[in-house]
Amino acid sequence: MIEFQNVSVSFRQKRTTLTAVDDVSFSIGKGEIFGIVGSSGAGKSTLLRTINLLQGVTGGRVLVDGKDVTKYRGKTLRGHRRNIGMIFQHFNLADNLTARQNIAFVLRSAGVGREEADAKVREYLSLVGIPEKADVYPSKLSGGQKQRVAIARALAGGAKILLCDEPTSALDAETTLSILKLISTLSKQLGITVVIITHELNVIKSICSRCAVMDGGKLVELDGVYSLFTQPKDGFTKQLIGHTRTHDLPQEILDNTYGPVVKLTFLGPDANTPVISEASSRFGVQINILTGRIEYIENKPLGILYVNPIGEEYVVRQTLDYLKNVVREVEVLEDGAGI
Amino acid sequence: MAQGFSLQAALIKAFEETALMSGISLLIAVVAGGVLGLLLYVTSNPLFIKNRLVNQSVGIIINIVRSVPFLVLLVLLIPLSKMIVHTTIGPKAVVVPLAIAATAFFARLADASFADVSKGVIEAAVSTGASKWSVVARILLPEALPSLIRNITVTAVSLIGFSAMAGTVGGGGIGDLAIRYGYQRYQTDVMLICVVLLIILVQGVQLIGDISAKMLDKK
Repeated sequence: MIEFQNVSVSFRQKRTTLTAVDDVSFSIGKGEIFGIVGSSGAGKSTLLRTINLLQGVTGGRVLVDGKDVTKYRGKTLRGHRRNIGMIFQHFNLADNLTARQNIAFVLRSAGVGREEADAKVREYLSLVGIPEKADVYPSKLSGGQKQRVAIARALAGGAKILLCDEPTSALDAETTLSILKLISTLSKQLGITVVIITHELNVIKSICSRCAVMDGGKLVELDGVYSLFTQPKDGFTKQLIGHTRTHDLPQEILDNTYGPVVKLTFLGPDANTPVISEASSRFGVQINILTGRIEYIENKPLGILYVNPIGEEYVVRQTLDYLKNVVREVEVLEDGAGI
Repeated sequence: MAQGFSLQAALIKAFEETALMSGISLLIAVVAGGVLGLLLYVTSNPLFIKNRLVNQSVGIIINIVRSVPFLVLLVLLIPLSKMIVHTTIGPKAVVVPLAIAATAFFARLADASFADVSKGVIEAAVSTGASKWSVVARILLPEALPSLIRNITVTAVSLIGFSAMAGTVGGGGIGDLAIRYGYQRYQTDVMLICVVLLIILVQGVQLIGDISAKMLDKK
Protein backbone atom coordinates (compact mmCIF):
# COMPACT_ATOMS: atom_id res chain seq x y z
CA MET A 1 0.00 0.00 0.00
CA ILE A 2 2.69 2.46 1.06
CA GLU A 3 6.30 1.71 0.26
CA PHE A 4 9.36 3.77 1.08
CA GLN A 5 12.33 3.03 -1.16
CA ASN A 6 15.62 4.54 0.02
CA VAL A 7 13.84 7.73 1.02
CA SER A 8 16.05 10.62 2.08
CA VAL A 9 15.08 14.15 2.99
CA SER A 10 17.68 16.79 3.69
CA PHE A 11 17.35 20.46 4.36
CA ARG A 12 19.99 22.85 3.20
CA GLN A 13 20.73 25.28 5.97
CA LYS A 14 23.09 28.22 5.75
CA ARG A 15 26.31 26.22 5.49
CA THR A 16 25.41 22.69 6.48
CA THR A 17 22.91 20.16 5.25
CA LEU A 18 20.63 18.59 7.79
CA THR A 19 19.54 15.08 6.91
CA ALA A 20 16.17 14.53 8.53
CA VAL A 21 15.43 11.20 6.87
CA ASP A 22 18.34 9.03 5.87
CA ASP A 23 17.90 6.21 3.34
CA VAL A 24 14.74 4.69 4.81
CA SER A 25 13.10 1.68 3.17
CA PHE A 26 10.09 -0.30 4.35
CA SER A 27 6.51 -0.91 3.43
CA ILE A 28 3.14 -0.70 5.09
CA GLY A 29 0.37 -3.11 4.20
CA LYS A 30 -3.23 -2.34 3.28
CA GLY A 31 -5.54 -2.02 6.27
CA GLU A 32 -2.63 -2.10 8.68
CA ILE A 33 -2.28 0.19 11.70
CA PHE A 34 1.38 0.98 11.54
CA GLY A 35 3.34 2.91 14.14
CA ILE A 36 6.51 4.92 13.83
CA VAL A 37 8.26 5.81 17.09
CA GLY A 38 11.37 7.74 17.89
CA SER A 39 12.47 10.65 19.99
CA SER A 40 11.82 14.16 18.73
CA GLY A 41 14.00 15.08 15.78
CA ALA A 42 14.24 11.45 14.66
CA GLY A 43 12.70 12.36 11.31
CA LYS A 44 9.44 10.51 11.78
CA SER A 45 7.25 13.54 11.15
CA THR A 46 9.23 14.39 8.02
CA LEU A 47 8.92 10.82 6.77
CA LEU A 48 5.16 10.83 7.35
CA ARG A 49 4.80 14.02 5.31
CA THR A 50 6.51 12.49 2.29
CA ILE A 51 3.45 10.27 1.86
CA ASN A 52 1.14 13.19 1.01
CA LEU A 53 3.97 15.39 -0.24
CA LEU A 54 3.65 18.05 2.39
CA GLN A 55 7.35 17.27 2.32
CA GLY A 56 9.27 16.53 -0.86
CA VAL A 57 12.03 13.95 -0.91
CA THR A 58 15.64 14.59 -1.85
CA GLY A 59 16.28 10.96 -2.69
CA GLY A 60 14.44 7.69 -3.18
CA ARG A 61 10.82 7.00 -3.98
CA VAL A 62 7.55 6.78 -2.10
CA LEU A 63 5.08 4.38 -3.67
CA VAL A 64 1.39 4.48 -2.84
CA ASP A 65 -0.60 1.67 -4.48
CA GLY A 66 2.49 0.93 -6.56
CA LYS A 67 2.75 4.43 -8.00
CA ASP A 68 5.65 6.77 -7.30
CA VAL A 69 4.03 9.86 -5.81
CA THR A 70 7.14 11.99 -5.33
CA LYS A 71 6.83 13.61 -8.75
CA TYR A 72 3.15 14.48 -8.43
CA ARG A 73 2.29 18.13 -9.08
CA GLY A 74 -0.83 20.25 -9.49
CA LYS A 75 -4.04 18.39 -10.15
CA THR A 76 -2.54 14.92 -9.79
CA LEU A 77 -1.06 15.90 -6.44
CA ARG A 78 -4.38 17.28 -5.21
CA GLY A 79 -6.15 14.10 -6.31
CA HIS A 80 -3.52 12.06 -4.45
CA ARG A 81 -3.94 14.15 -1.30
CA ARG A 82 -7.72 13.67 -1.40
CA ASN A 83 -7.12 9.96 -0.93
CA ILE A 84 -5.08 10.58 2.20
CA GLY A 85 -6.48 12.10 5.37
CA MET A 86 -4.26 13.58 8.02
CA ILE A 87 -4.70 14.47 11.66
CA PHE A 88 -2.38 16.43 13.92
CA GLN A 89 -1.28 16.85 17.51
CA HIS A 90 -2.92 20.27 17.79
CA PHE A 91 -5.94 19.26 15.67
CA ASN A 92 -5.43 22.23 13.30
CA LEU A 93 -9.09 23.04 12.85
CA ALA A 94 -9.97 26.47 11.50
CA ASP A 95 -11.08 28.41 14.59
CA ASN A 96 -13.51 30.65 12.76
CA LEU A 97 -15.36 27.78 11.12
CA THR A 98 -17.83 25.48 12.88
CA ALA A 99 -17.26 21.73 13.03
CA ARG A 100 -19.62 21.35 10.08
CA GLN A 101 -17.81 24.04 8.05
CA ASN A 102 -14.42 22.53 8.82
CA ILE A 103 -15.50 19.18 7.43
CA ALA A 104 -17.52 20.65 4.57
CA PHE A 105 -14.42 22.56 3.42
CA VAL A 106 -12.81 19.32 2.24
CA LEU A 107 -15.89 18.24 0.35
CA ARG A 108 -16.77 21.63 -1.14
CA SER A 109 -13.25 22.21 -2.41
CA ALA A 110 -13.33 18.75 -3.99
CA GLY A 111 -16.35 19.92 -5.97
CA VAL A 112 -19.04 18.09 -3.99
CA GLY A 113 -22.43 19.85 -4.13
CA ARG A 114 -23.81 21.62 -1.09
CA GLU A 115 -26.54 19.10 -0.25
CA GLU A 116 -24.37 16.04 -0.73
CA ALA A 117 -21.63 17.66 1.34
CA ASP A 118 -24.12 18.39 4.10
CA ALA A 119 -25.26 14.79 4.19
CA LYS A 120 -21.66 13.56 4.28
CA VAL A 121 -20.81 15.95 7.11
CA ARG A 122 -23.70 14.58 9.14
CA GLU A 123 -22.73 11.00 8.35
CA TYR A 124 -19.12 11.49 9.43
CA LEU A 125 -19.94 13.49 12.55
CA SER A 126 -22.11 10.56 13.65
CA LEU A 127 -19.35 8.14 12.73
CA VAL A 128 -16.93 9.92 15.08
CA GLY A 129 -19.60 10.09 17.77
CA ILE A 130 -20.38 13.80 18.01
CA PRO A 131 -23.40 14.40 15.73
CA GLU A 132 -24.70 17.11 18.06
CA LYS A 133 -21.60 19.29 17.68
CA ALA A 134 -22.12 20.26 14.02
CA ASP A 135 -22.63 23.96 14.59
CA VAL A 136 -20.15 24.42 17.40
CA TYR A 137 -16.92 26.37 16.97
CA PRO A 138 -13.68 24.54 17.89
CA SER A 139 -13.01 26.80 20.88
CA LYS A 140 -16.14 25.36 22.51
CA LEU A 141 -15.03 21.76 22.00
CA SER A 142 -12.82 19.64 24.26
CA GLY A 143 -9.51 18.29 22.97
CA GLY A 144 -11.00 14.88 22.29
CA GLN A 145 -13.96 16.39 20.45
CA LYS A 146 -11.64 18.54 18.34
CA GLN A 147 -9.67 15.47 17.34
CA ARG A 148 -12.93 13.74 16.45
CA VAL A 149 -13.87 16.61 14.16
CA ALA A 150 -10.36 16.44 12.68
CA ILE A 151 -10.78 12.71 12.03
CA ALA A 152 -14.13 13.35 10.36
CA ARG A 153 -12.49 16.06 8.22
CA ALA A 154 -9.67 13.70 7.30
CA LEU A 155 -11.96 10.88 6.23
CA ALA A 156 -15.10 12.60 4.89
CA GLY A 157 -13.63 12.86 1.40
CA GLY A 158 -13.34 9.08 1.23
CA ALA A 159 -9.65 8.79 2.11
CA LYS A 160 -8.22 5.29 2.22
CA ILE A 161 -5.12 6.23 4.20
CA LEU A 162 -5.05 8.11 7.51
CA LEU A 163 -1.82 9.78 8.58
CA CYS A 164 -1.64 10.61 12.27
CA ASP A 165 1.00 13.04 13.47
CA GLU A 166 1.18 12.63 17.27
CA PRO A 167 -2.63 12.37 17.37
CA THR A 168 -2.94 11.99 21.13
CA SER A 169 0.05 13.89 22.49
CA ALA A 170 -2.12 16.84 23.50
CA LEU A 171 -4.78 14.68 25.12
CA ASP A 172 -5.17 13.21 28.61
CA ALA A 173 -4.85 9.46 29.15
CA GLU A 174 -8.55 8.69 29.10
CA THR A 175 -9.24 10.73 25.96
CA THR A 176 -6.16 9.19 24.33
CA LEU A 177 -7.68 5.75 24.77
CA SER A 178 -11.05 6.77 23.33
CA ILE A 179 -9.43 8.41 20.30
CA LEU A 180 -7.21 5.38 19.67
CA LYS A 181 -10.22 3.14 19.94
CA LEU A 182 -12.07 5.30 17.42
CA ILE A 183 -9.16 5.19 14.97
CA SER A 184 -8.90 1.45 15.30
CA THR A 185 -12.66 0.96 14.84
CA LEU A 186 -12.77 3.22 11.78
CA SER A 187 -9.77 1.48 10.31
CA LYS A 188 -11.57 -1.86 10.47
CA GLN A 189 -14.98 -0.50 9.51
CA LEU A 190 -13.81 1.51 6.49
CA GLY A 191 -10.76 -0.56 5.57
CA ILE A 192 -8.39 2.32 6.11
CA THR A 193 -4.62 2.03 6.35
CA VAL A 194 -3.37 4.03 9.34
CA VAL A 195 0.13 5.37 9.90
CA ILE A 196 0.70 6.80 13.38
CA ILE A 197 3.79 8.60 14.51
CA THR A 198 4.19 9.16 18.19
CA HIS A 199 6.66 9.28 21.01
CA GLU A 200 4.18 7.61 23.34
CA LEU A 201 4.84 3.90 23.49
CA ASN A 202 1.39 3.31 24.95
CA VAL A 203 -0.16 4.45 21.69
CA ILE A 204 1.87 1.88 19.77
CA LYS A 205 1.06 -0.84 22.30
CA SER A 206 -2.66 -0.14 22.23
CA ILE A 207 -3.45 -0.17 18.54
CA CYS A 208 -0.53 -0.87 16.22
CA SER A 209 0.24 -4.23 14.72
CA ARG A 210 3.70 -3.36 13.46
CA CYS A 211 6.05 -0.57 14.34
CA ALA A 212 9.16 1.08 12.95
CA VAL A 213 11.70 2.67 15.24
CA MET A 214 13.59 5.70 13.97
CA ASP A 215 16.67 7.35 15.38
CA GLY A 216 18.68 10.15 13.80
CA GLY A 217 16.75 9.91 10.53
CA LYS A 218 17.46 6.20 10.14
CA LEU A 219 15.19 3.21 10.47
CA VAL A 220 16.79 1.20 13.26
CA GLU A 221 14.25 -1.54 13.79
CA LEU A 222 10.96 -2.75 12.39
CA ASP A 223 8.96 -5.56 13.87
CA GLY A 224 5.58 -6.73 15.05
CA VAL A 225 4.66 -4.72 18.13
CA TYR A 226 4.67 -7.68 20.52
CA SER A 227 8.14 -8.85 19.51
CA LEU A 228 9.39 -5.28 19.50
CA PHE A 229 8.31 -4.74 23.08
CA THR A 230 9.30 -8.13 24.37
CA GLN A 231 12.48 -8.79 22.41
CA PRO A 232 13.92 -5.53 21.10
CA LYS A 233 17.11 -6.07 19.11
CA ASP A 234 18.53 -2.63 18.44
CA GLY A 235 20.28 -0.76 21.23
CA PHE A 236 18.19 2.37 20.74
CA THR A 237 14.96 0.39 20.84
CA LYS A 238 16.08 -1.30 24.03
CA GLN A 239 16.77 2.06 25.57
CA LEU A 240 13.43 3.45 24.37
CA ILE A 241 11.47 0.49 25.65
CA GLY A 242 13.65 0.13 28.72
CA HIS A 243 11.93 3.11 30.24
CA THR A 244 8.71 1.18 30.41
CA ARG A 245 10.38 -1.97 31.69
CA THR A 246 12.49 -0.82 34.62
CA HIS A 247 11.18 -0.87 38.13
CA ASP A 248 10.67 2.18 40.27
CA LEU A 249 11.33 0.52 43.61
CA PRO A 250 12.68 2.91 46.20
CA GLN A 251 16.27 2.21 47.19
CA GLU A 252 15.15 2.00 50.83
CA ILE A 253 12.98 -1.02 50.06
CA LEU A 254 15.81 -2.73 48.17
CA ASP A 255 18.20 -2.07 51.06
CA ASN A 256 15.83 -3.58 53.57
CA THR A 257 15.05 -6.82 51.77
CA TYR A 258 16.69 -10.03 52.85
CA GLY A 259 17.47 -12.53 50.18
CA PRO A 260 17.71 -11.91 46.44
CA VAL A 261 15.53 -9.55 44.43
CA VAL A 262 14.61 -11.23 41.20
CA LYS A 263 13.10 -9.75 38.07
CA LEU A 264 10.84 -12.16 36.22
CA THR A 265 9.68 -11.44 32.68
CA PHE A 266 6.82 -13.53 31.40
CA LEU A 267 6.06 -13.65 27.71
CA GLY A 268 3.11 -15.07 25.86
CA PRO A 269 1.74 -18.29 27.36
CA ASP A 270 4.21 -18.29 30.30
CA ALA A 271 2.24 -15.52 31.85
CA ASN A 272 -0.72 -17.83 32.26
CA THR A 273 1.12 -20.37 34.48
CA PRO A 274 0.86 -19.78 38.22
CA VAL A 275 4.63 -20.15 38.80
CA ILE A 276 4.77 -18.17 42.02
CA SER A 277 2.29 -20.28 43.94
CA GLU A 278 3.75 -23.38 42.31
CA ALA A 279 7.26 -22.53 43.58
CA SER A 280 5.92 -21.58 46.95
CA SER A 281 4.10 -24.85 47.52
CA ARG A 282 6.80 -26.99 45.96
CA PHE A 283 9.77 -25.62 47.94
CA GLY A 284 8.09 -24.15 50.96
CA VAL A 285 9.52 -20.76 50.14
CA GLN A 286 7.85 -17.44 50.87
CA ILE A 287 7.72 -15.23 47.84
CA ASN A 288 7.19 -11.57 48.44
CA ILE A 289 6.06 -9.60 45.38
CA LEU A 290 7.67 -6.15 45.47
CA THR A 291 6.22 -4.65 42.32
CA GLY A 292 5.07 -5.76 38.94
CA ARG A 293 2.53 -5.49 36.20
CA ILE A 294 1.05 -7.46 33.42
CA GLU A 295 0.06 -5.74 30.21
CA TYR A 296 -1.47 -6.98 27.04
CA ILE A 297 0.02 -6.07 23.69
CA GLU A 298 -1.86 -7.34 20.66
CA ASN A 299 -3.88 -9.35 23.20
CA LYS A 300 -0.77 -11.24 24.28
CA PRO A 301 0.39 -10.84 27.87
CA LEU A 302 3.72 -9.35 28.88
CA GLY A 303 4.31 -9.66 32.61
CA ILE A 304 7.11 -8.26 34.70
CA LEU A 305 7.39 -9.10 38.38
CA TYR A 306 9.97 -8.14 40.97
CA VAL A 307 9.95 -10.77 43.68
CA ASN A 308 11.89 -11.50 46.81
CA PRO A 309 12.02 -15.20 47.78
CA ILE A 310 12.51 -15.63 51.51
CA GLY A 311 13.69 -18.85 53.14
CA GLU A 312 16.70 -21.10 53.83
CA GLU A 313 19.56 -20.50 51.44
CA TYR A 314 19.24 -23.85 49.63
CA VAL A 315 15.50 -23.44 49.32
CA VAL A 316 15.99 -20.04 47.74
CA ARG A 317 18.58 -21.51 45.34
CA GLN A 318 16.19 -24.31 44.38
CA THR A 319 13.46 -21.75 43.80
CA LEU A 320 15.71 -19.70 41.53
CA ASP A 321 16.69 -22.80 39.52
CA TYR A 322 13.03 -23.69 39.15
CA LEU A 323 12.10 -20.17 38.04
CA LYS A 324 14.92 -20.09 35.51
CA ASN A 325 13.43 -23.18 33.97
CA VAL A 326 9.85 -22.02 33.64
CA VAL A 327 10.09 -18.27 33.19
CA ARG A 328 11.34 -16.67 29.96
CA GLU A 329 13.73 -14.19 31.59
CA VAL A 330 15.05 -14.30 35.11
CA GLU A 331 17.39 -11.64 36.32
CA VAL A 332 18.82 -11.61 39.85
CA LEU A 333 19.24 -7.99 40.79
CA GLU A 334 20.47 -8.43 44.34
CA ASP A 335 22.07 -11.66 45.43
CA GLY A 336 20.84 -11.54 48.95
CA ALA A 337 24.06 -10.54 50.67
CA GLY A 338 21.84 -9.04 53.29
CA ILE A 339 21.18 -12.41 54.90
CA MET B 1 -24.34 84.74 16.03
CA ALA B 2 -23.78 84.89 12.30
CA GLN B 3 -20.22 83.73 12.84
CA GLY B 4 -21.40 80.79 14.96
CA PHE B 5 -23.68 79.70 12.16
CA SER B 6 -20.91 79.84 9.58
CA LEU B 7 -18.63 77.89 11.93
CA GLN B 8 -21.21 75.15 12.12
CA ALA B 9 -21.45 75.04 8.34
CA ALA B 10 -17.65 75.01 8.08
CA LEU B 11 -17.44 72.16 10.56
CA ILE B 12 -20.00 70.09 8.67
CA LYS B 13 -18.20 70.74 5.40
CA ALA B 14 -14.85 69.85 6.98
CA PHE B 15 -16.27 66.70 8.48
CA GLU B 16 -17.65 65.66 5.11
CA GLU B 17 -14.32 66.30 3.44
CA THR B 18 -12.43 64.28 6.02
CA ALA B 19 -14.94 61.44 5.79
CA LEU B 20 -14.80 61.48 2.00
CA MET B 21 -10.99 61.56 1.75
CA SER B 22 -10.43 58.94 4.44
CA GLY B 23 -13.32 56.75 3.32
CA ILE B 24 -12.38 56.48 -0.34
CA SER B 25 -8.68 56.05 0.43
CA LEU B 26 -9.50 53.38 3.00
CA LEU B 27 -11.61 51.48 0.51
CA ILE B 28 -8.81 51.54 -2.07
CA ALA B 29 -6.17 50.69 0.56
CA VAL B 30 -8.13 47.69 1.87
CA VAL B 31 -8.56 46.22 -1.59
CA ALA B 32 -5.14 47.06 -3.07
CA GLY B 33 -3.22 46.68 0.19
CA GLY B 34 -5.07 43.47 0.95
CA VAL B 35 -4.08 42.02 -2.41
CA LEU B 36 -0.46 43.13 -1.95
CA GLY B 37 -0.42 41.73 1.58
CA LEU B 38 -1.78 38.45 0.29
CA LEU B 39 0.88 38.47 -2.43
CA LEU B 40 3.57 39.04 0.22
CA TYR B 41 2.18 36.17 2.25
CA VAL B 42 1.75 33.56 -0.48
CA THR B 43 5.18 34.29 -1.93
CA SER B 44 6.79 33.73 1.46
CA ASN B 45 5.00 30.48 2.31
CA PRO B 46 6.28 27.23 0.73
CA LEU B 47 2.78 25.74 0.99
CA PHE B 48 1.61 28.32 -1.55
CA ILE B 49 3.87 29.85 -4.21
CA LYS B 50 7.07 30.75 -2.40
CA ASN B 51 9.02 33.14 -4.60
CA ARG B 52 11.76 35.22 -3.07
CA LEU B 53 12.18 37.50 -6.07
CA VAL B 54 8.53 38.56 -6.17
CA ASN B 55 8.34 38.76 -2.39
CA GLN B 56 11.37 40.97 -2.03
CA SER B 57 10.51 43.20 -4.99
CA VAL B 58 7.04 43.89 -3.61
CA GLY B 59 8.53 44.39 -0.17
CA ILE B 60 11.03 46.96 -1.43
CA ILE B 61 8.37 48.93 -3.32
CA ILE B 62 6.21 49.04 -0.21
CA ASN B 63 9.16 50.15 1.87
CA ILE B 64 9.98 52.96 -0.55
CA VAL B 65 6.44 54.33 -0.33
CA ARG B 66 6.48 53.99 3.43
CA SER B 67 9.83 55.78 3.79
CA VAL B 68 8.53 58.98 2.23
CA PRO B 69 6.93 61.28 4.83
CA PHE B 70 3.28 61.82 3.94
CA LEU B 71 3.64 65.56 3.52
CA VAL B 72 6.40 64.98 0.94
CA LEU B 73 4.40 62.25 -0.77
CA LEU B 74 1.47 64.64 -1.02
CA VAL B 75 3.55 67.12 -3.02
CA LEU B 76 5.54 64.49 -4.87
CA LEU B 77 2.40 62.86 -6.24
CA ILE B 78 0.78 66.04 -7.55
CA PRO B 79 1.53 65.10 -11.17
CA LEU B 80 0.03 61.66 -10.63
CA SER B 81 -3.09 63.15 -9.04
CA LYS B 82 -3.45 65.38 -12.08
CA MET B 83 -3.24 62.37 -14.38
CA ILE B 84 -5.76 60.30 -12.45
CA VAL B 85 -8.35 62.79 -11.15
CA HIS B 86 -7.52 65.72 -13.46
CA THR B 87 -7.04 68.17 -10.63
CA THR B 88 -4.24 69.03 -8.24
CA ILE B 89 -6.31 70.66 -5.52
CA GLY B 90 -9.28 69.73 -3.37
CA PRO B 91 -10.24 66.54 -1.56
CA LYS B 92 -10.31 64.52 -4.79
CA ALA B 93 -6.65 65.30 -5.45
CA VAL B 94 -5.70 64.29 -1.91
CA VAL B 95 -7.30 60.89 -2.30
CA VAL B 96 -4.49 59.75 -4.64
CA PRO B 97 -1.52 60.18 -2.27
CA LEU B 98 -3.67 59.15 0.73
CA ALA B 99 -4.72 55.93 -0.98
CA ILE B 100 -1.16 55.14 -2.04
CA ALA B 101 0.30 55.76 1.41
CA ALA B 102 -2.48 53.78 3.09
CA THR B 103 -2.14 50.91 0.60
CA ALA B 104 1.52 50.48 1.46
CA PHE B 105 0.72 50.78 5.16
CA PHE B 106 -2.11 48.26 5.06
CA ALA B 107 -0.22 45.80 2.83
CA ARG B 108 2.32 45.23 5.62
CA LEU B 109 -0.39 44.87 8.24
CA ALA B 110 -2.39 42.48 6.06
CA ASP B 111 0.71 40.36 5.46
CA ALA B 112 1.16 40.16 9.23
CA SER B 113 -2.50 39.21 9.67
CA PHE B 114 -2.15 36.36 7.18
CA ALA B 115 1.15 35.22 8.67
CA ASP B 116 -0.53 35.06 12.08
CA VAL B 117 -2.89 32.34 10.90
CA SER B 118 -1.67 29.06 12.37
CA LYS B 119 0.68 27.27 9.96
CA GLY B 120 -0.79 24.00 11.15
CA VAL B 121 -4.29 25.00 10.08
CA ILE B 122 -3.01 25.93 6.61
CA GLU B 123 -1.01 22.72 6.39
CA ALA B 124 -4.07 20.70 7.37
CA ALA B 125 -6.13 22.48 4.70
CA VAL B 126 -3.48 21.87 2.04
CA SER B 127 -3.24 18.21 3.08
CA THR B 128 -6.89 17.69 2.15
CA GLY B 129 -6.09 18.22 -1.51
CA ALA B 130 -7.91 21.54 -1.73
CA SER B 131 -6.57 23.97 -4.33
CA LYS B 132 -4.45 26.90 -3.20
CA TRP B 133 -7.19 29.30 -4.14
CA SER B 134 -9.70 27.31 -2.13
CA VAL B 135 -7.42 27.32 0.91
CA VAL B 136 -7.00 31.10 0.60
CA ALA B 137 -10.70 31.82 0.14
CA ARG B 138 -12.24 29.30 2.52
CA ILE B 139 -9.62 28.99 5.26
CA LEU B 140 -7.01 31.75 5.21
CA LEU B 141 -9.40 34.69 4.80
CA PRO B 142 -11.93 33.63 7.46
CA GLU B 143 -9.10 32.81 9.87
CA ALA B 144 -7.35 36.14 9.26
CA LEU B 145 -10.54 38.22 9.18
CA PRO B 146 -10.70 39.41 12.82
CA SER B 147 -7.04 40.45 12.66
CA LEU B 148 -7.59 42.10 9.25
CA ILE B 149 -10.50 44.09 10.70
CA ARG B 150 -8.30 45.30 13.56
CA ASN B 151 -5.65 46.35 11.06
CA ILE B 152 -8.22 48.08 8.85
CA THR B 153 -9.17 50.07 11.96
CA VAL B 154 -5.54 51.03 12.56
CA THR B 155 -5.26 52.10 8.92
CA ALA B 156 -8.49 54.14 9.14
CA VAL B 157 -7.27 56.00 12.20
CA SER B 158 -3.91 56.73 10.52
CA LEU B 159 -5.76 57.95 7.45
CA ILE B 160 -7.77 60.42 9.49
CA GLY B 161 -4.46 61.70 10.84
CA PHE B 162 -2.84 61.88 7.41
CA SER B 163 -5.85 63.68 5.98
CA ALA B 164 -5.16 66.60 8.33
CA MET B 165 -2.26 67.48 6.05
CA ALA B 166 -4.59 67.72 3.10
CA GLY B 167 -4.83 71.45 3.59
CA THR B 168 -1.42 71.77 1.99
CA VAL B 169 -2.99 71.12 -1.38
CA GLY B 170 -6.35 72.63 -0.56
CA GLY B 171 -7.99 69.38 0.37
CA GLY B 172 -9.90 70.73 3.32
CA GLY B 173 -11.06 68.56 6.17
CA ILE B 174 -11.19 68.95 9.95
CA GLY B 175 -7.43 69.14 10.39
CA ASP B 176 -7.21 71.87 7.79
CA LEU B 177 -9.97 73.82 9.51
CA ALA B 178 -8.12 73.57 12.81
CA ILE B 179 -4.93 74.96 11.26
CA ARG B 180 -6.53 77.77 9.25
CA TYR B 181 -8.92 79.08 11.90
CA GLY B 182 -7.48 77.82 15.11
CA TYR B 183 -3.80 78.46 14.43
CA GLN B 184 -3.54 81.05 11.69
CA ARG B 185 -6.45 83.17 12.94
CA TYR B 186 -5.92 82.59 16.68
CA GLN B 187 -9.42 81.14 17.15
CA THR B 188 -8.55 78.68 19.88
CA ASP B 189 -12.20 77.68 20.29
CA VAL B 190 -12.33 76.47 16.67
CA MET B 191 -9.11 74.57 17.23
CA LEU B 192 -10.55 72.87 20.31
CA ILE B 193 -13.84 72.01 18.61
CA CYS B 194 -11.89 70.45 15.73
CA VAL B 195 -9.76 68.44 18.11
CA VAL B 196 -12.83 67.19 19.99
CA LEU B 197 -14.48 66.30 16.69
CA LEU B 198 -11.38 64.32 15.63
CA ILE B 199 -11.29 62.54 18.97
CA ILE B 200 -14.95 61.53 18.63
CA LEU B 201 -14.36 60.39 15.05
CA VAL B 202 -11.34 58.28 15.96
CA GLN B 203 -13.06 56.78 19.01
CA GLY B 204 -16.07 55.91 16.87
CA VAL B 205 -13.99 54.22 14.20
CA GLN B 206 -12.03 52.30 16.83
CA LEU B 207 -15.21 51.21 18.58
CA ILE B 208 -16.80 49.93 15.38
CA GLY B 209 -13.57 48.11 14.51
CA ASP B 210 -13.25 46.52 17.94
CA ILE B 211 -16.85 45.36 18.04
CA SER B 212 -16.83 43.82 14.57
CA ALA B 213 -13.47 42.10 15.14
CA LYS B 214 -14.74 40.66 18.39
CA MET B 215 -17.94 39.45 16.78
CA LEU B 216 -16.07 37.68 14.01
CA ASP B 217 -13.43 36.11 16.22
CA LYS B 218 -14.57 32.68 17.39
CA LYS B 219 -11.20 31.71 18.83
